[in-house]
Amino acid sequence: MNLISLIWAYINNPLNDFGGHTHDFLLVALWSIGLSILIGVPLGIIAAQNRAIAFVATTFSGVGRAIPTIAFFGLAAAIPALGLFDRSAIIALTLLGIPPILLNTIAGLQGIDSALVEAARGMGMTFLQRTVRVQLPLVLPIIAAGVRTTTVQVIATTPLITFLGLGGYGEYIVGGIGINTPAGVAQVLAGAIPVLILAVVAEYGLAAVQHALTPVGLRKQAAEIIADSASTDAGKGVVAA
Amino acid sequence: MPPKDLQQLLSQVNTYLHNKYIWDASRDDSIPRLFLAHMSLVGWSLLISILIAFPIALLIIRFTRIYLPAISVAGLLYTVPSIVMFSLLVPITGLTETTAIIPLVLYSQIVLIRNFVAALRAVDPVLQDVGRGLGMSEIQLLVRVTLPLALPVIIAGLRVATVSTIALATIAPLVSYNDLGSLIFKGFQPYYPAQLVVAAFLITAIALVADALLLGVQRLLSRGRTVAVAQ
Amino acid sequence: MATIEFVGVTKRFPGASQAAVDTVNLTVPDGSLCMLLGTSGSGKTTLLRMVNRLIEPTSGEIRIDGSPNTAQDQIALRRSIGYVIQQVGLFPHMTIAENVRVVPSIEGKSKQEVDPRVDELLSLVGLEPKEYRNRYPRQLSGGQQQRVGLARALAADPALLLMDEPFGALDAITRERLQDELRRIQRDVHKTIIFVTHDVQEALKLGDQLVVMSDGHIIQAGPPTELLLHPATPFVARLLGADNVVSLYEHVPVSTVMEPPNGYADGMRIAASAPVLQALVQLVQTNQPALAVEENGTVVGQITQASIYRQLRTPIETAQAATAKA
Repeated sequence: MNLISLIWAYINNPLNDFGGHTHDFLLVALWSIGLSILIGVPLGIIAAQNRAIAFVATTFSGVGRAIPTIAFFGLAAAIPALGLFDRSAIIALTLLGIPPILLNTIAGLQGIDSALVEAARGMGMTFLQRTVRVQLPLVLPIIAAGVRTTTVQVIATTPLITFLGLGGYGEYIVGGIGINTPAGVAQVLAGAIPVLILAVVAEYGLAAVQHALTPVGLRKQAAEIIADSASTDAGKGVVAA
Repeated sequence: MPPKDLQQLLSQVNTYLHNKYIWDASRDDSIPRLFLAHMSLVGWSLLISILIAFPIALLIIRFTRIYLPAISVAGLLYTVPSIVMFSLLVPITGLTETTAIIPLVLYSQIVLIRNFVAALRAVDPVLQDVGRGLGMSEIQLLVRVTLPLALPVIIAGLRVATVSTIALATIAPLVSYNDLGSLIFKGFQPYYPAQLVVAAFLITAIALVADALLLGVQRLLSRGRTVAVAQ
Repeated sequence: MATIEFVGVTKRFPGASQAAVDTVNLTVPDGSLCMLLGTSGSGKTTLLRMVNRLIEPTSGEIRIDGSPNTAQDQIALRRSIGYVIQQVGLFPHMTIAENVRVVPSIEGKSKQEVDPRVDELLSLVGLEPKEYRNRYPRQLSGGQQQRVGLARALAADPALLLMDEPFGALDAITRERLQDELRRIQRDVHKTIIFVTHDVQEALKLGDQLVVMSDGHIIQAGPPTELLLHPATPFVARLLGADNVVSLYEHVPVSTVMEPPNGYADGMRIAASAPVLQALVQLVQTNQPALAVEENGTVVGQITQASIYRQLRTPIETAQAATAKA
C-alpha cells in the first residue's frame, strides 16, 4: 500500500512530468511501429516475388536477430550527421521493427498454396479479385502476427531511448535503478509498470485482432495463436533487450 | 565529436582499437575481461535454462495437457520487456549476478520448451517401441534412443536461445553486471561513437560465431539421419 | 452446346528444345467426354490449359463452337468454362457454399439468387446440402473436397468442363466412386468434358473418345474400343494393354463382338454396352450356349463363347506381335 501510494505520488508530482514522458515514449514508439509497417509490408510484397530479394531480406533479418537492441541505438547514433537525436532513436527502432513484418509478409505470400491461385485463375478471377478475395484474406492474419511481434518489441525497446538523452519511461527506470530506498523503487516502478502494461496490452490486444482477421475456416484457439507465435518469432528474445 | 562522415567514423574506430588499455587483461574494463564476463553470464544462463526446460519438456511429453498452460506462462514472461524485468528484480535480488541471470533464463524458456517438445515428438515412435521390445528401461530408452535421435533438433533450438541470450546479456550492465554491453552503455555518456560501433560489431560477431558453431554441431549430428531438423 | 476444335495447335516454351504440344488437330464433339491420356511430359496438361488460355499457344487455334477462344477476353472465357484440378484448390477461408458460388458471385450475382443452385449442385455431386453447406474445406475428406471442386466448376453452368487429373490424388475406392458419379453427372447435365489423366483404366472407363499423347503429338484418337481393337502403334497397344486378354475383355463392349440374332431372343439377355467379360462370366455361370444382346429393350444380336473368341483373336494376336517386336 505504501509503495503504491509512493508510485502514485511520484507520477502526480509535476516535477516528474509524467505526461511529458508518456508523450515522448509514445511518440517514438508509434512512429517506429508505423514506419516499420509502411516499409516492411511493401518490401515483403516485393521480396515475395523475387528470390534474390527474399534471400537478402531474410539474411539481413537473421543477422539483425544477433544484434543487441541497444547496439541498434549505438549504431544509429554513430551514423554521421544523425548523432543523439530522436531521429536516430526512430531509425534504430524502425530497423528493429521491420524484420518481423517483412518476414511474415514474405512467408504469408509464399505460403499461399499455388493450387489456390491456379484455381482462381482458371475460374476467371481478375488480378484484383484474386488479390482481394483469395490472397488478402489468407495473408492478412499473418502480417497482423508480424505487426504484433514488432509492436511488442518496439514497446519493450523504447525505454532505452533514454540513453540517447531522450525522455520516456526509461528515464525513470534507469534513474532509479539501484537506489535502494522505497522512493527509488517507486521511481523504477513508475516507469516499469506503464511499459509492462503497454507491452502486455499490445501482445494480447493484437492477438485478438489477429484472431478476428483470421477467416473462420482457418481459425485456431486463441491460446494456440499465442503459443504458435512465440515460437515463430523466436528472434524476439534478442530484440527485447 | 560526432563523425562528419563514414571516413571520420572509421578513423575514430581505428584510433579506439589502438588504445592499449582496452586490451590490457589486468583491467576489469578491458575487452578480454568483458568478453569473459559476457560468456560466463551466457553460459550459466543457458545451462540453467536447459536444466529447467528439459524436465518440463519431458513432463509435457508425458502429460500433453500441460503444454498450453506451460507455453502460455512462458509466453507471458516473454512479453515482459527485459528492462522491466531487470528493474523489477533489483529490489528483490539486488545488483548481483543472480539478477542478471534470472531474466535470461526466463526468456529462453519458451524457445527451449517448444523446441525440446518438438524434438522429442519428432522421434519415430516405432523406434521407441523397438527399444522397449529390446527390454530397455525408460531411462535407457531416453538416453540411448530418444535423445540421440532428437539431438539435432534440440541443438537447433539451442542455437536460437544462444543467439538471443548473447544479445540479451548486453543489457546486464543495467544491474551493474559489467560485460561487453557496458561498452555500449558507457559509449552514450560521454558520447563515444567509435566505442559504440566496436561493441556492437563485437557482440554481433560473437552471436553469429556461436550460431555457426552450433549449426556445425547440428549438421554433424544429423548427418545420415532422416529426422527433419526444425528451424 | 460446345464443340471444341484444336487446329494445328503448337506450344513451344521458351528455352525448351522440343515443342510441348506439336501441331495438334482434334475435334471434341458436343456433349462427349474426351480423355487425354499420356505420361507426364506428353503435353496433355499443356493442351488442356490452352483451352481456357492459362497458356497461350505459340501457333494454331482452338475453337469453341466455331469461334476462336481468343475472340473474347480471357477472364470472360474462363468464367464460361468449368475447371477442376488435382489439388482441388478449394479456398480454405470460404465455406463450402461460398466456394461453390464463387464464380457467380464474382460475376455480381446475389447470394439469394445463387443459393438454390448451390444446394442443387451439392446434391448433384452427392453431398447433403444441409450438412455440408456451412462447413470449411479442411473439415472434408479428399474425396469430398473434390466433389465440391466439381460442384464449383459446374456453378456457372458452363457448357465445357476441363478436368486435370481430378481424381489422381484420391485412394482407389474413392477414385472409382467419383468416376462412376462423373459418368452419372455427365449423363444428367450433358456437358462437353476434356479430362486429362495418366491412368489407363480411368481413360478406358470414362472416355467416349480417347486421345493418346506422347512427346507433344497425338498418337491415336478414337473411341476406347477402337483403340483397344486397332491400336495404331505398339506404344498404344502396350499402354492400353491391348495385348492383354483380360484387359480387352474388361473394356470391349458386347456390341462389338455380337452376331446377328439367331433364335436366342427368349433366353438370357445382356446389354449391348456391357463389357465382354460380363457376358463371358454369365455364359460360364449359367451354362447357356448363347446370350441375347439387347439395346433399348429390343434384341439386336446374340453372343457365344465362340463369337467372342473369333472376334477378339485377331486384334489380340496383332497387338501381341506388335508389342513383342517393339
